[in-house]
Amino acid sequence: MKLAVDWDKCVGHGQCYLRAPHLFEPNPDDDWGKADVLVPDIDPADGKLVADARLATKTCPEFAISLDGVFGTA
Amino acid sequence: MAQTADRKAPVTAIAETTSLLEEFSADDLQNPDHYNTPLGPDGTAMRFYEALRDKAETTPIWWGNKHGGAWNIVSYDAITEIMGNPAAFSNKGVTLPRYDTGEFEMMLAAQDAPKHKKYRDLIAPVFSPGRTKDFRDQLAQTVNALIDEQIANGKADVATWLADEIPGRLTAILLGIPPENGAIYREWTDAITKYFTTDPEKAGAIFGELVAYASELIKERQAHPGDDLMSLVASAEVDGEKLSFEDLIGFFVVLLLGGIHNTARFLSSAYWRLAWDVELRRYLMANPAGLPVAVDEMIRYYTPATIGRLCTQDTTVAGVDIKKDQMVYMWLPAANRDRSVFPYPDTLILDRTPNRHLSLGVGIHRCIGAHLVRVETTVAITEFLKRIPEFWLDPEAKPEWQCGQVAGFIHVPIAFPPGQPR
Repeated sequence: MKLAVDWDKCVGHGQCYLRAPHLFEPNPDDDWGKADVLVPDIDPADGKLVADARLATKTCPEFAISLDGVFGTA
Repeated sequence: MAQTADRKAPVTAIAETTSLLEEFSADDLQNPDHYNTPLGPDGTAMRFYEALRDKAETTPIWWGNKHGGAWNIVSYDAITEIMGNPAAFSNKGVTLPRYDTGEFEMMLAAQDAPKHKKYRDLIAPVFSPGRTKDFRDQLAQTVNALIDEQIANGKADVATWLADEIPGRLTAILLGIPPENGAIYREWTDAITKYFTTDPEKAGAIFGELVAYASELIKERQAHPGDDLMSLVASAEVDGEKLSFEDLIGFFVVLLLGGIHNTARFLSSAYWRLAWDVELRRYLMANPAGLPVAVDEMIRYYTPATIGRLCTQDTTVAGVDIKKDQMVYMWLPAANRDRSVFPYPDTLILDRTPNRHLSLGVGIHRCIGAHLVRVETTVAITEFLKRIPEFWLDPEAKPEWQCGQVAGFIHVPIAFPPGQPR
């Protein structure tokens, strides 16, 4: 499952890497603190990682994180 | 206030509940004034914000007559809509009433596109997550040095002792000015934020001193640049031109304002909460890895700032028509209790996730110091708890709350077993 951060929406709140440092990190060259995805391909069989990725899409205040193209799950 | 149930009444009468809306006057709710919010039984404004939240469940936006009139924006969705629409909602109206900084516009905070992004990009490197981590050790040193000053007394006002001093010193370190002059910097920020409405003459005089000091500083940094923020802006160019004198003063002002007052008021509220919430203290000391997320929850719960915008184009928000030149005022502390966004909003949930709180704003004006404030507040709390793990509110004194665009405790008298300076 594709985990992605849309940099047009990301302003570097850092909620994602604060809470899920195994999935996100601040891009070292970006001064706003925008996020890079550490695990862009989430194994659908890994229940915990899928749950973490789904939660991450809800965590971003700008809804910049998507899982399989869905920003902020219902 | 609701009547207590009559003992002779049937049991069904106990099902009646009090509405928070009944605890405050209709005028206070209709025309909330951030400079004069009614305080609840705990001495904070939180209960009033909760009542505003309740009102917003039927009326997300309403017109209030304070400070020349403004739309009170209280629902989470309405606020995110406004902050996400800078084309229609300008930061020229970031304060209500407008802070009188003369011809010096507050950089970033009071600016719009296209200037805003250019100036923000200029200083963003200093506030990046990587750079702010580098401040951790210096901050820990600063906090411990401050703690040394009064730890042997067994009694102190933790607001003036630490909450005001720590952000003051950190901002001074950032700007490359003497950290020990914290009292002067506080006077300057008070002049702009407090005295402007209560004593404009005093505000003007103190602001004049700020400008004089900053002018000397700028000249000095242009002649002898260091690796501090003032040196960076004093020698910087935007669109091939050096920054004007007004721009440089504007930077100085916003860094003082943004860096000190907000953080100081939040830290005071945090120390106040820690003084009586023993379970919270134990949790934080037992879960150092969970501290940053817990502090983020405290930043949601004790939101220090409310903030405005000036409407520049007729727009509709939450079904309400907002006209050009009208002010909107956003009650972030109330929106941070929005039931549709935060389950159990009036409870501190120390590992709350997601926590899309609005305390640091959203969108392009999201607080540039957001990463810094997380480092600063976690260090301020961690080091304090290491040196003073047991403390309580001084039973012989009262905490004091200050209202305003930035609100929080300004005096928090505590007592603790006397300790040793290092």
